[in-house]
Amino acid sequence: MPNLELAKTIDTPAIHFDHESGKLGIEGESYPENAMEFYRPVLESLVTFAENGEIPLQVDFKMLYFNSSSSKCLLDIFDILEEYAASDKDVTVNWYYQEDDEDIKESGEDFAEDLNLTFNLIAYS
Amino acid sequence: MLLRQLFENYHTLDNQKILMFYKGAVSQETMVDLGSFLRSSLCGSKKIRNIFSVFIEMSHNIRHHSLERDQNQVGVGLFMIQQTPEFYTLSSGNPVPKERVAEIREKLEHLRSLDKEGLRKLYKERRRSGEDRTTKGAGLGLIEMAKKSDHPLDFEFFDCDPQTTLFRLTVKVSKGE
Repeated sequence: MPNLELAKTIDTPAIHFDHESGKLGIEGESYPENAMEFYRPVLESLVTFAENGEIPLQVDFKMLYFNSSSSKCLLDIFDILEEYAASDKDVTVNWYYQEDDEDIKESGEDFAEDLNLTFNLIAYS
Repeated sequence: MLLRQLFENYHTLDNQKILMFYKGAVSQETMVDLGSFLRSSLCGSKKIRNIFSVFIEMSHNIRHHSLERDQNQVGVGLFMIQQTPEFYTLSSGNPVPKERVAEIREKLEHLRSLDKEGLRKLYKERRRSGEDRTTKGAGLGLIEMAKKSDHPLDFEFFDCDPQTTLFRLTVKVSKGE
């Protein structure tokens, strides 16, 4: 299965997607020149996983900052997760935020509100 | 004459407590560099996350929507951050086609009428509807700035010529306690 491994840059997050273990991690800052282009491989990889996968999926977000165009792309990711969950698969989202970062916490809450997924908001120091 | 003017500008920047002033093309690289500069020069501020976020959205607007383009088609505009006792004031300016003025004004007036909860709701709706996708995200960026602002968005249009208007947008971020 095609795993995905993108190193962190100053304006894009690190992305690890291991199809064998069903774990996707997105961590860092996101304000790329073209967010849709940057996230396309992630969406494609998720679609491939969802088409073939039978196993639970765990997605860990540890965002420090993301701009409004990245926010739309994260919503696209959540749409695929929700579809996978709707086909009776186990999906867990862990949304990490620094304990003093109200913005990231709030944006996690805003995503969680409209999603039919197990969505854990987790503070770290 | 030009040198004299430079000195005057120097004093204006000084007197007005202008922390950064940039006029030029806002490429991705320029935005990343200026953003890093802002973060390092304001690293003690409680509101650096809000300031950074407003800066990124303003830069994005200039890059995609300014009528003035450099030789690589990157949008040209100005960005300024000023310090007052209570606020950091961030402003952007760039030329826009006159026929877009009514639409921009309408969007901004609507945002000015909403409270934080209303802005949060509108942001979610717009993100979901995806109506701005074709225009490279304008709209959502304005809502994001309004969310981060501690004062209603302030804006102004100055006519340059019959086709062009200069659009100035100002966001005030309170320094906090």
